[in-house]
Amino acid sequence: MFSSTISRWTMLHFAAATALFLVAQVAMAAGAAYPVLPLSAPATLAVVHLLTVGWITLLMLGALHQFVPVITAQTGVAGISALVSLIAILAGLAGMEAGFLSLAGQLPLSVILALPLGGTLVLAGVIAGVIPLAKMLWQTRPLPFAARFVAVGLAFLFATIAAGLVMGLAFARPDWISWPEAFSRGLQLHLMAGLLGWFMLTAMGVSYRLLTMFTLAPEERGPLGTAVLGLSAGGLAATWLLSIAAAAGAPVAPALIAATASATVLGVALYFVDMVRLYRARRRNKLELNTGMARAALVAFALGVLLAVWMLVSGNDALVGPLAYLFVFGWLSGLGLSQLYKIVPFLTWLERYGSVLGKQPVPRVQDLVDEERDEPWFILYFGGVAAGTVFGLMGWQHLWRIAIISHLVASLLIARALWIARRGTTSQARPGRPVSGTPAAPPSLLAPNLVSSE
Amino acid sequence: MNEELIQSLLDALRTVIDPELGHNIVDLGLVYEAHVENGRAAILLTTTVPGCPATDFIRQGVEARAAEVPGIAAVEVTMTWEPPWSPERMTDAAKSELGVAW
Ligand code: HEM
Repeated sequence: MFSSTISRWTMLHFAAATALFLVAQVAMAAGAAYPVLPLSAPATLAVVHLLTVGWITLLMLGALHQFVPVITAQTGVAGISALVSLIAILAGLAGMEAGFLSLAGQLPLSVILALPLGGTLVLAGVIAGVIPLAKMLWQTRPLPFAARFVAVGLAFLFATIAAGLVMGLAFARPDWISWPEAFSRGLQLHLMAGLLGWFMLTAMGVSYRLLTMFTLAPEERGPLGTAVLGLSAGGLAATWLLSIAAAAGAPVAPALIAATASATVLGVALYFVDMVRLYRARRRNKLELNTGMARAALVAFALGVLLAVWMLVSGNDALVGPLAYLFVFGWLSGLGLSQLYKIVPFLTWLERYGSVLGKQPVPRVQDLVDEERDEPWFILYFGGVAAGTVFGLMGWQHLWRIAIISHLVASLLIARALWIARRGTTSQARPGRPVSGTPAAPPSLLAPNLVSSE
Repeated sequence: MNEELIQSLLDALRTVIDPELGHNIVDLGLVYEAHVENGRAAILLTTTVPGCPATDFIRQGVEARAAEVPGIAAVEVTMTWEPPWSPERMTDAAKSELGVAW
């Protein structure tokens, strides 16, 4: 019997996502994209989508396959549709990459059609993955607090892809969709939906759930939590819809958009207040590496918001590159890596030891990793991103590349730690509580290998 | 007599851990009730969070371990999340080992 509570394809999502994260960092370090090339260069677009579709979207979908059942307290996880989704998204991403490379002149121009085709395949894959999640969310109405962020985030994922597809089509078939229009309007909507709607809101919801669970902090977030949700998710949805209406020519007062955007910023500011409150109210005094390092990601997020507000107020567009970098590498990737450091050993534990629990001594989840060994790599990671952001803001491109190399190395070493946790070559026995009996077979690295239990 | 049996049942269940917290389920306070009557054990069990991915395994571990206790012939485990578990339910020893503030 497969346990009904383990998502079988989550680990494969994580493996693919991590590999693409490393590839994207290699490309940046090698000077094949931003910051050496401009932000709008086709090669940069290729790397940006390796990061956004390949790394963060797959990471989030993989995590949601496992954690939407936890968030909604439903049993039963997505089955084969999660695998179909993963394959379609990877194939679609490959198409998009080919399309961007043809724009960059590295592939024949006729290949540009792969951009909208790949985007369509990504859309199909996302639909296959989201249907079981949406079903679970639908059955759990009224939705628990953290799940509300996720529900809005998933809606924005579709909005992101739709806007991306329109732009992709405009690139490939300018005779169908008039070019300047699709870009000036589409890009803003695409960025807002993708980076803020899908990534930011989902990460906020997931962080609420995981961080209360792992630090033993009160799950009930009270009126402050309600304000965070209403202002950030409501404000962003309103801003996005008003922006579409404005793009379509409706008479939308700019002051109205400014008001909804300010509400979003206020909601995010309150989120930081609530996160400080959460960490203060935690019952687990000693933080583990994942919850300790999540604080660095939260700080990166807070600094990013300050930088964004400053950029909007000062109108200094030159900050957008370093800002996006801080947001993607410091907040989203930092939160992702730190939580992978808990989730990968946890899922590995379930697969390997779950069925022998109570029948023979088993290690703890923490015993599958070595926090002392890996803490320096997390410090190197966040230190590299912090330095990279400063160098980027100063316009010191060469130093920035060195900073990128340092967090690339750190990511590799963290990926190695996850690999070791997966393969079980670290010390498995808890001091004073050796694992006796025949150890259960190690799970294969990627494919699900859930032990059967009668 | 029955008290003793329940005690040995709880002792046996102390070999079952919550993998995430890394502590045994009895001292974490995850066993809400344990009764034994005529060799039949009835155990009311929770997990630290509803929907915890380890739920099935913890339940099966409890069933297997309880069935091994001499004097227990049948085991019935019921899961509940009402009332929800909270860290107050941990024993003082578990709290201090896990560094749980009080
Ligand atoms: C989660 C999904 C996605 C996210 C978060 C995302 C994010 C982004 C970001 C940040 C940029 C700006 C890059 C830069 O200027 O350097 C961008 C541009 C672009 N994206 Fe996406 N994207 C996603 C999916 C897609 C999909 C599925 C397509 C479909 C083909 C697509 C098509 C495009 C195009 C054509 C541009 C360039 C627009 C221009 O430069 O005018 N994106 N995207």
